[in-house]
Amino acid sequence: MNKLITILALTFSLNVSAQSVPTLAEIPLTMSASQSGALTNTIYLEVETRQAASLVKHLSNYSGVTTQQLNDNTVAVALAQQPRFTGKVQSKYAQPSFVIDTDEPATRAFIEGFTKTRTDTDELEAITAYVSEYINEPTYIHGFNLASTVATQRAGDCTEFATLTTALARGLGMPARLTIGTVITAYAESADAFGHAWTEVWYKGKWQIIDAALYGADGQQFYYLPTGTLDNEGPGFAMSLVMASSLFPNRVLNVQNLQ
Amino acid sequence: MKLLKSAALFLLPATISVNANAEYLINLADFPDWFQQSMARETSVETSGKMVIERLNVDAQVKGKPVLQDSGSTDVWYYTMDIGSDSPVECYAFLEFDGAANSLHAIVEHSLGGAEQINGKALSGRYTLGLDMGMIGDTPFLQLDTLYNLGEGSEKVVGVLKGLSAQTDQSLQICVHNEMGYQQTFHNVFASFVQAFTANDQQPELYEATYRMTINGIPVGYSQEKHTIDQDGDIATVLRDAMITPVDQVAVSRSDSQTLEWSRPDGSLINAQEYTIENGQLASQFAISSAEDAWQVTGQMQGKEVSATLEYNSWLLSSFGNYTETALLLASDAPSADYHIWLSDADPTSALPVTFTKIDELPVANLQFDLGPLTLKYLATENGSFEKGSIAQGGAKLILEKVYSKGQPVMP
Repeated sequence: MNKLITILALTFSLNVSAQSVPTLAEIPLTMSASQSGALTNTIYLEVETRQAASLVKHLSNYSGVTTQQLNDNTVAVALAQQPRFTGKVQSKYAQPSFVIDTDEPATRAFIEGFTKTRTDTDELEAITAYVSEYINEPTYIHGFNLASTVATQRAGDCTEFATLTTALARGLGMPARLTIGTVITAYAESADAFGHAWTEVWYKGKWQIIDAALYGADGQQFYYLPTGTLDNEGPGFAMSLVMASSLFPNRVLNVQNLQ
Repeated sequence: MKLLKSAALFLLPATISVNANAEYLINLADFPDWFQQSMARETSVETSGKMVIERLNVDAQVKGKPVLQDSGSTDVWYYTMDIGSDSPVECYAFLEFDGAANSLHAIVEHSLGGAEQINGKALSGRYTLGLDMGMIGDTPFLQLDTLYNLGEGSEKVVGVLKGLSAQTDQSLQICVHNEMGYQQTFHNVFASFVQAFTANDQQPELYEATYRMTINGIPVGYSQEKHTIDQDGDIATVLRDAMITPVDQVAVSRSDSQTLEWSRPDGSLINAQEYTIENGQLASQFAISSAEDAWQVTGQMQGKEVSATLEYNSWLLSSFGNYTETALLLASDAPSADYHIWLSDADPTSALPVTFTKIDELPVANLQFDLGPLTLKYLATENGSFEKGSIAQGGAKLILEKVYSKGQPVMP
């Protein structure tokens, strides 16, 4: 039974975190009654979560996001579109790992493909565009694939996009880490929220978000609410995903422009 | 195969909605009357025929007059069964297979390809119509129904392909029926087909149980356990999991895994082997055993070799031990109990600490299982058997529920 519980829980976490089940990964979102028109650069929201204190602690590692714990289950959040990780650049963020396996032939070939075709456009934009185009079979069926697997299959959902983006950044010498969280997509009069994955890359002296999965996607604005990172990039990476998705909101409430 | 032609099916993408409390993922009430009437058709299958497969110890009467067709393989038996509808039910028995979920999906894909060929029209649309899990006696089955279009414009037609899959002790049975309606009729024929493979199954199990998994009310699969005592008094456990999860209106994610585990009567693990197949690919394969006072793990994940000696070198809780230790905890004054378990899906290179804690949330739960940040509250009986539990995360809720059991998880 322990295997049953864990398989399901892990599958569940993977599905939710990977946005591999859009209908299941969707996080209920309610706009504030006072909000009219489009959301702007910084928004206010209330996050209902089972681990409010842990979420507050995690978000304290970011600039562009401020929090206030309202009660055991709710955190008030002021959120910029792209909160910035303020942690140190660790050596592991630049090295190959079991998951971000830039030392595998398939991943190396993928990276070389970029270096041969790179243009003079903004480097982060070029990385994002390249990965977005390289994965030519977007599909939600995968749980979580290694970078070399993604490079070979050229298929996947947001976790596969993020894995390959992280590998490409590292292959180009930029420290990078795979981040899990919630993305809020704002439209003209509405918004929705999903479990998501993206890459944080150390570029020009600061951590910056790049997201190949949503490159060119519909939506006026994207707001990234990080809940964890793939801290364990070894064969036990699934537990990192569980950790990250354990901070996921149950609901996002009262979304509005920050007054 | 009968295909119905209708302009109404152009409206499909706009009319699909999730029906959370039913097996159908598409709300049939949104469809025209003729469609609903076709979907409601049933018939009574009065005929039956003898089916004999010596290699699988099958010798039984099966509903619908089975006719053996050439499968092109000595390890696959392919039958057609006339049930009185326009299309026959097609049934397969496989000796080698990926699993109930992956193989069912593969046959559905194969059958859709066949529909394209027969009709001379390309597949122009498809939707996951329904998913379900149930039991035929002590055998769990999966259901995957697909609504599809062939052709374009005024030549567009619609069809429904129903699929059922069940793994028995020696083989896998899959049936498909490419026709609207006849849901119960098809199920009855499939049940008859599967029972032909289980009729002579006399393996005595100490305890077996099957659990149904639902996510947000959608039945996505099952987990089956069979525990048997061997001649040395140890417990051999076979765990099988099969899941088909809808990922959007069209695609489904497939996962099958199997574990063979040996444990001692005290609930401690001796060794285990397991594999997982996801979406038609071998995703991982691991074995754990004890050598030189340490746990050794070998295997591979997504084709990459993994080999490790666990830092932890003591008692590991087995699947069977989970029951015995739960029973001991419930009977004791202790508030909780701590163990280490090995779960390759979580981390094949570590023994993971877990805690079982008594809670008083009856009738919903009397125990809580904690693994890192993961918490599952569940109801267990005094003999330790798991009855029902749930995990909520993000906007989704997962429920596990025992739907079948035989015997007791207690050493005689």
